Amino acid sequence: MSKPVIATTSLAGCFGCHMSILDIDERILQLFDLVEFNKSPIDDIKKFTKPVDIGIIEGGCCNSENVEVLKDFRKNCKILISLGECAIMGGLPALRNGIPVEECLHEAYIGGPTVQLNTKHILPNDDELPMLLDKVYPCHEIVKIDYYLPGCPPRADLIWDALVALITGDPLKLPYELIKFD
Amino acid sequence: MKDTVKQILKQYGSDRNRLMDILIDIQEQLGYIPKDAIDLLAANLGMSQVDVEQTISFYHFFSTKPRGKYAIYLNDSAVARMFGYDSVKRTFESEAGIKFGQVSDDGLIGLFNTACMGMSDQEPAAIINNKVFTRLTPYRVREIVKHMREGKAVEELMNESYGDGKNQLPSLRSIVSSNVRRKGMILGDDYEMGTVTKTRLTKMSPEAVIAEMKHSHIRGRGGAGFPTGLKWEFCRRSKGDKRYVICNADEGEPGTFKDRVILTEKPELVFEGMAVAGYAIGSDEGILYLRYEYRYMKDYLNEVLENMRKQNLLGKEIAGIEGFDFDIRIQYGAGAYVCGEESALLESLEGKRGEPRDKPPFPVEKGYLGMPTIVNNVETFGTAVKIVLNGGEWFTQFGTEDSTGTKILSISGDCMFPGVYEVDWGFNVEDMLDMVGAWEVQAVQVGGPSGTLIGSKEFHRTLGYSDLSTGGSMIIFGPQRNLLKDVVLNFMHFFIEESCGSCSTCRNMTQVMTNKLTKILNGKGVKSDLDDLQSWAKTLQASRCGLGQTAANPIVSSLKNFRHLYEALLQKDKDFDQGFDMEASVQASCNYVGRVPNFNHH
Amino acid sequence: MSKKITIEPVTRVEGHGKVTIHMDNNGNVYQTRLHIVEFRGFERFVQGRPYWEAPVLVQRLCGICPVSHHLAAAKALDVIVGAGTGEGLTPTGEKMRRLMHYGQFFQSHALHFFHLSSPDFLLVSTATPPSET
Repeated sequence: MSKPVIATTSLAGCFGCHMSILDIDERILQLFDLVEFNKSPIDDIKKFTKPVDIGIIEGGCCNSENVEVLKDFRKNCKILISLGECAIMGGLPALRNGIPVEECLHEAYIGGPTVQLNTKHILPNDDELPMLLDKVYPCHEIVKIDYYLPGCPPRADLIWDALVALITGDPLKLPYELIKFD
Repeated sequence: MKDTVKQILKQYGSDRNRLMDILIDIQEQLGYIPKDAIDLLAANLGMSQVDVEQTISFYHFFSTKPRGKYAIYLNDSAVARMFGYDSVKRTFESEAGIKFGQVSDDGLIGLFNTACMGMSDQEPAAIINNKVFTRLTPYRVREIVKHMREGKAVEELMNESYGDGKNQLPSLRSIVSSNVRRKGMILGDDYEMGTVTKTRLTKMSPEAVIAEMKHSHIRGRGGAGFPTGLKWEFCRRSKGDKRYVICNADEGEPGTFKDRVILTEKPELVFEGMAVAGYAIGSDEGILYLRYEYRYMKDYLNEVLENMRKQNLLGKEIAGIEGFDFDIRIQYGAGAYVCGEESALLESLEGKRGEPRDKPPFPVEKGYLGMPTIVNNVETFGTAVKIVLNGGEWFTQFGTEDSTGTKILSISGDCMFPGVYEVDWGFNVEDMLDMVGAWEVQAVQVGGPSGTLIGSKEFHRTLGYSDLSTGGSMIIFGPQRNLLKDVVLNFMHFFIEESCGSCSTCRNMTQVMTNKLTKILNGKGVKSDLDDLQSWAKTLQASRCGLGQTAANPIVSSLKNFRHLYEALLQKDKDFDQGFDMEASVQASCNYVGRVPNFNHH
Repeated sequence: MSKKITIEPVTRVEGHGKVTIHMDNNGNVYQTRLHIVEFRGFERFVQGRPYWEAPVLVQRLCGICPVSHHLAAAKALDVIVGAGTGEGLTPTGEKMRRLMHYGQFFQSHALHFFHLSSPDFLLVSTATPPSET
């Protein structure tokens, strides 16, 4: 029986949720016995090379590239998990949702107090760059998501228990320590 | 400015509980409430500026900026939109040269939208400087604006005849029509003011009055339907130094205008009813909480009260009964549907934001200023007089066993004869439609947005507290109406606007559900959306007050009775569509940085 | 014919990046560009929030070095609340900050070496060359 294949990505996330995944510490050796990793920022596989069973998404959608990667994940993964608040509801980057995107760009590149060298008031507009969306969207507003693991970041124990439950098919127990957010 | 404010403060004894009155008076004299006035009020009322500002910001009609020499509030309710709101709105905007929400540069005209103002039988309607203008047309609007530019007084802008009934009286002089189309025990002409006070109260104990009320099984006429006799009894039994009788004339439920008519045609009956209640519960002070949209009745109602005082029906030792003192003052709201909810009303009476209270304790234990209080509807007080006159037993012969008595309905929408009809409870919807001249009816909204939307399959049902309950509002929709867009969406926007914001359910879920409905109306709906709407609606039951608890009703009842309308809009070939539009979404940022959107990267 | 090679996403680093390598007709590299593809707007959306939220908000700039951002915000708050640029900090406070920061070094450096960059240092000889040059 082949091992389940896992893929992860960080869309508009700060990587903290991936750090939380790595916080499973030595259990990562157990994990490598249980699963096989495909596309992920912690390996060098940059494109899907086979169908994936579990896709873990960190971060919401801030720009067009995030959306395309997310849609790609939905196409290639049987199950998608939104990991962390950014993927679940937009998270911290979604604080820019009440503010026109023009103001955010202006503050960062032109008007901010630490901007000194941009005297020509250039804004990044290279064609290679992804295009910013009008708002930050949580993942389930773009594609269908199957599971949600809340937290900012979620505890490593929760991620471990959830992954093991998904892989083995056992029910997931949720003791208080796992779901208290502090 | 300072002198004006100081004089108003003096008039109300610098009592912070009267903040609503104070703000209304300041605004009427100065046109708006300037910052300096707020500072002065804070200093003199022992409040902080924020306390004053938070009350001002809650109510629709208060403004801290000038609203124009002629402040025009145009009603944008569902019924108004059915009868020409759009063209009236466009005409106002083109004549005044501004959009709604703005004041013209010369300070002459301010254009504002407002929620249902109780004129559904004569839409489109607007309030201009506290005077009500009904049956507006683009022609009238052009004329009105022309006369405004000529500097005419608001009274001079009215060139149609005054309304029927008491609307012609010198103290009222209003072009609003009463449209009483069917009289009954309340609206009938067979009662002489003061009969009950002079001939019954003189012979009955307060407990006997309450007994008759209980015997009649009368239930509140405002919509909630609590047994009135029981309410009065609880209040009488509660401990307190003082008791209050509050008449709820906020009538904010869209499509309801029967209290407007009762107060115009039979105010003495209502005031006498309040006195009867005062006698029964042991209160000497009554307050009529009147919605701001009915302020045009101010002089008329004050005149009625004064007349009753002269006849010893209000004031001290009423009708010679020793110890029976009772008087009534009028307190105005300032534009907030939620203030029709009794505990929000009490908050407003105390000069605060109209945010509902946690219950218990109920107003009958701790109400106005912490004292035992009864809050009853206008029609309930009027009915009480007839019950005490003829006895509770007599009352039970009208209506049905569970809903005794008559109900005054305010019927509007697609029918020949909108207006006010007094019918027995147990009246059947089919008969009602025949009564008002409505043919080919697609749907009827019973009880306003917080009620239910029923289709022809339900027209056999009867009106009553346990089946189709209503505070009076009945809106009829013909076949040409787009129910989801013109009715349900309009009602959801109403709830979003009127939510006080305390409970996250009512504050957020109304918006979330409306977004979902809008998505479906834009053609991006999928089947799971309907299941979502159904399950999300349940969360609203956790709201603190009736507004929140019924805020999802437009969607829930239309899903139940008109599901086919939703299903017709769904996408058949998709399971999942959140309505995300990438091309539209990247426009703003691309325009700003100066690049052409390119979707061909990967 | 000029050619462009795109390496996307840049893996085994924190953050998001894209590298484009531009070559001329002869296959010589004349320019390599690193594109920072992320923009979140922190500078703007922290404005208007209560000042004590700043350390908590800016922590989320980076999940690997949240402590650094947290302490930077804390130092800014020192000035705001009148504790100066360090003079007003209690000895205990200073020690706690240093401890936190050292802890982050340990975690971040260890994580970066073992999880992220070690293959480049240790496994270069066994790595398969990229499929196109």
